[in-house]
Amino acid sequence: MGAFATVDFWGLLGISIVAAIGMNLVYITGQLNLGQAAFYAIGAYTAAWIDTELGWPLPALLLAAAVVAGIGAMPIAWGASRLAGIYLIMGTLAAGQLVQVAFGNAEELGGRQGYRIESQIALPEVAASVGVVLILATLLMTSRFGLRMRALFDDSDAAAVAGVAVRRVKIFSVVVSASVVGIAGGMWALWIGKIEPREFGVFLSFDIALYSLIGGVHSLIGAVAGAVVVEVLTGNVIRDVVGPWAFVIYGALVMVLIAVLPEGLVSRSFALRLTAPLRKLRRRRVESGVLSHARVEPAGETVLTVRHVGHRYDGVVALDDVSLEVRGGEVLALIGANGAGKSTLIDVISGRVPNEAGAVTLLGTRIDGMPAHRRKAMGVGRTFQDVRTFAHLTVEESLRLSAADGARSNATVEAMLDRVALGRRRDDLPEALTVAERRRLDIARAAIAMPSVLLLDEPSVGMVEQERIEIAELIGSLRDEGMAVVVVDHNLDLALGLADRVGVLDFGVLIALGSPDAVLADERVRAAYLGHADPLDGVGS
Amino acid sequence: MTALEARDLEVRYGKLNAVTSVSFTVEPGSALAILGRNGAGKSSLLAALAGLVRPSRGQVLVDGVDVTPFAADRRARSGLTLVPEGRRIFRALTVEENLRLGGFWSEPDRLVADVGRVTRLFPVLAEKMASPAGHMSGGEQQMLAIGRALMSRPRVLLLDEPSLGLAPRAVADVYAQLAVLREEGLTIVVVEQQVRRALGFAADAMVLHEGSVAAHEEPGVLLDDPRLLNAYMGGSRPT
Amino acid sequence: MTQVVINGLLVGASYALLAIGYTLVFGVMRLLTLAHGQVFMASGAIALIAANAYGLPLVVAGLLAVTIGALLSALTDVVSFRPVGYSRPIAAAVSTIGFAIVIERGIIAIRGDETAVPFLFEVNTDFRVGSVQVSLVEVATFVLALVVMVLTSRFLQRSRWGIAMRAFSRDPEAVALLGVPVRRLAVRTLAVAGGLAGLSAFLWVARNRSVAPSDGFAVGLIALAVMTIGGIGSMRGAVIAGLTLGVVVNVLDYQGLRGWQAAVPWMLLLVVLLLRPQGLFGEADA
Repeated sequence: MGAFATVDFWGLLGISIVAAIGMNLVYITGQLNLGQAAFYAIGAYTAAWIDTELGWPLPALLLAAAVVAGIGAMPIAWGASRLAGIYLIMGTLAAGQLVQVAFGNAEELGGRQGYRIESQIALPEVAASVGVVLILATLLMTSRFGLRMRALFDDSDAAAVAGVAVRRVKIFSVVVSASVVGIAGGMWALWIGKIEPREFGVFLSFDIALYSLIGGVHSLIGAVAGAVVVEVLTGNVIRDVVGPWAFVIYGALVMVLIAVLPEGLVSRSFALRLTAPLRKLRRRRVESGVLSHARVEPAGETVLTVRHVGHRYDGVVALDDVSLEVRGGEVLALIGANGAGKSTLIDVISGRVPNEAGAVTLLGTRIDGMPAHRRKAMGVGRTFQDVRTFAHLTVEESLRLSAADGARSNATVEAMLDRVALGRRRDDLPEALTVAERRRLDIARAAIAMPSVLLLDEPSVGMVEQERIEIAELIGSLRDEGMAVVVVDHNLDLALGLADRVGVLDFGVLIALGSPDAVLADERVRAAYLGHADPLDGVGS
Repeated sequence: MTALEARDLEVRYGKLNAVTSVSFTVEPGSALAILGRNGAGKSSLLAALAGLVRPSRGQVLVDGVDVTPFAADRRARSGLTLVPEGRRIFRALTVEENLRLGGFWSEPDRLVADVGRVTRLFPVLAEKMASPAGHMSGGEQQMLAIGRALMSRPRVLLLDEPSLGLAPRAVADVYAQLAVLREEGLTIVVVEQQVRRALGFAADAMVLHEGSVAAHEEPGVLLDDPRLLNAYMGGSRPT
Repeated sequence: MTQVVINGLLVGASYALLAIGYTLVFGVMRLLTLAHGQVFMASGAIALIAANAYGLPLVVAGLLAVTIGALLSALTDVVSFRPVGYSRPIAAAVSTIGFAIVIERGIIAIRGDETAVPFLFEVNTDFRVGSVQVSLVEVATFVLALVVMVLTSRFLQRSRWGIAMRAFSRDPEAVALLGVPVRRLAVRTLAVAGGLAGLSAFLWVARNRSVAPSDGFAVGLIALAVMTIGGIGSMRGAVIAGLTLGVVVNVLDYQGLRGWQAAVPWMLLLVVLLLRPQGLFGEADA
């Protein structure tokens, strides 16, 4: 095991850790960048060139590497934000290859022969750099902005509804990740002393990606673990023992780990357990605050107006000329059969799907055409029928993400935790919650920014009677604070018991709108709900 | 012998019990309607019957043969075919190609005969053989989805919300043809949210509520049963 | 200049042949295998190692390459796609990186070093047509690329497996519900693609007279770019993109821009991804 004692091993490990942190910063937004070698190369060449030509001190060299790599990443980040999944992989792969070719042709930087540097970085300096990067990355990941990045990994739709400007956050993360990888590249250049373009090939990009995927993207501990594992497996130590088959074993282990540990070596819940004592230490007793209205409307004022809205999916009419108004301090229940257009109406109001006809107005401002995160800022909150919780955010983090900006958000989160009785669950992930708790979290998330209008899509699905009553009480109390609440629910009990007015949708058409009693008495409504007994229906027996 | 039997089926998604201890039998040539509101576990039950999800407990038997260990494709070859919710026809493929896929294992002669049978049942398909399936109307697509499933000559046909998104006229057409198929001896299990439609069609009806069987009765009895409205609308209703 | 263009077309044919297999896998399974280049390289390398060691005849070596390609490619499903799960496309793609490493490093470990495996057969290849000099192997590659394109397209259009493959790409579950054996379908798709990789590998080594372990990514990634440019799932697209790329690269070479050749596929790929992500001849995802 002598090889572990070599300075070289530790130096390269430190550099790998920095690159791994960089990778985590982009993959945490769900973007798998397979072109990180490009930014590594840019960082390396920047540090090398400035060192030779200008002779700057080490911190300045690495800062320059970060800045130049970040600038170089901007066009790639813009392009990447338009791609997803496998297309993103191919796009970043292409970008990485292009940069490698460019350096091979840059004769001023030595072309294919490469570039030689005199200065060196010593092990303590590597360690210090790792420390600084680790601290800065931790600060970023625990900040509100970091929360927004992390939310994208799980569900960018739900993140947008929670107020995250999806594209902007994605672009930022590619750039900041490139900067950190650029620092690693700069350190590497100074460590090795000579850089050649062929070093920055696709295998380097793969290794950097594997740090994150093997170690775990949901914590920086995971990045460190991934770097250690990959470096040990691909390092001299193993090669001395098993000879040329070392890399074969590495490749096989990559396959096994990816298949067996979807979250990597350090899963989110494992990381949470590791950091639990730290959180306890840091958590200041925040005095229970009060939910503060973003905008208080006098009850009875019209908050939301939907005018002649239409939408089709796939040739099927989902919404046909729907018009309605919702007033502050009232609950409007939307009922109707499956596929009647209830969820589509919520999607159209919240900005998840565009309306093809008509207008949506919130407090006098047209909001159709705005992206979902801007509507959230305007005062639209919503939940999803299929409970879209963020799988890797704790209860408290989910609420913090959705809370409105401002100094009082801590107190607001505490107040909301109390209100939905999730205080003891604050550090749990959604997978640990019961169905009812998840629903309450979902509603709490939608309501915490005190939206003017709150859209709830089937808030009581899958619940038992007692839980339904609790949900109804929660919704009622939000209404009493002046919110305009729209509830879609199959459970007529909940909807009718709570609703001030009821709207009935049938094949995308609003066939009735009025007081619960009046609507229930409507024969068309009963027909729509229990199926059509139309004249063609000759199957009476 | 029963055509289809479910024994103590249970489906779990993580912590959530979608289906709990569901048992029933369906006789050859009869139809069972499964009712219940959104999230009651109807689709999960069908998925477990068709082999799309693995039940955490219980068995599925077709003609007395335990098909529980089989994946969906083998169950289809064993005579148990699901017409999934939302039809899920192959929109880019032609109508003919969709039908040919349904008859994947058929010899050429049988394929021709079965296409003939399906087009007699749904004449509109014959007119559109060469056009992409995605160009058809919702009702026609539903007929294609059923016709496609029939190509493998199933003994038990499962249908998940065949009326979803269809105009009343098309729903009536679809059910009229299902009745013909049932007369010919096909066993049918239909999940349907148009309660009256389903109760008018099936000889037997089962109401699911929170994943369990809340009632299992003849349609005539069930229509007046408060448990039906309860399961649909939840709880006991004031007024 | 005619010579330059013709050479380009002939070089492009080998990209096209490999890309046809690639586009088949991706088009049907909607999964990206980054090990396709290694399958290509390994089938050529192992066939040559065996041929050189046992003095196999040329045709046998060629068949061996096709067989090894088919087997290794089918193995992708067993070791990467299935264990990871078809519902995790990103993780599946990353897992194939592991498979690529295993294949490439396995060849190196077996060989003992990273040097190329030589092609020792004597194939009298060059002949002249008017003022243009061409090689027999290249012409054969070109013709085969066209033949394979036509045959694969027909297979996809007419045969029941072909129809099932096209349907599988849109809704695998619905295909399974019809009784189509989807696992066998996946393995067959990969095997066909791998066989094509083996065929193109053998033609490639016949022209280049050797194959090195590092050629896996060098060629495989270009084929990946070609596939995407042509349009995922489009045989015609793979061929047209491959031939175009061959010509552009050769013309650049002729113009003295040799160093920038390697950038061409990636620039084209980026342009296509940003302007028309489904590729030149691909269908937009429905």
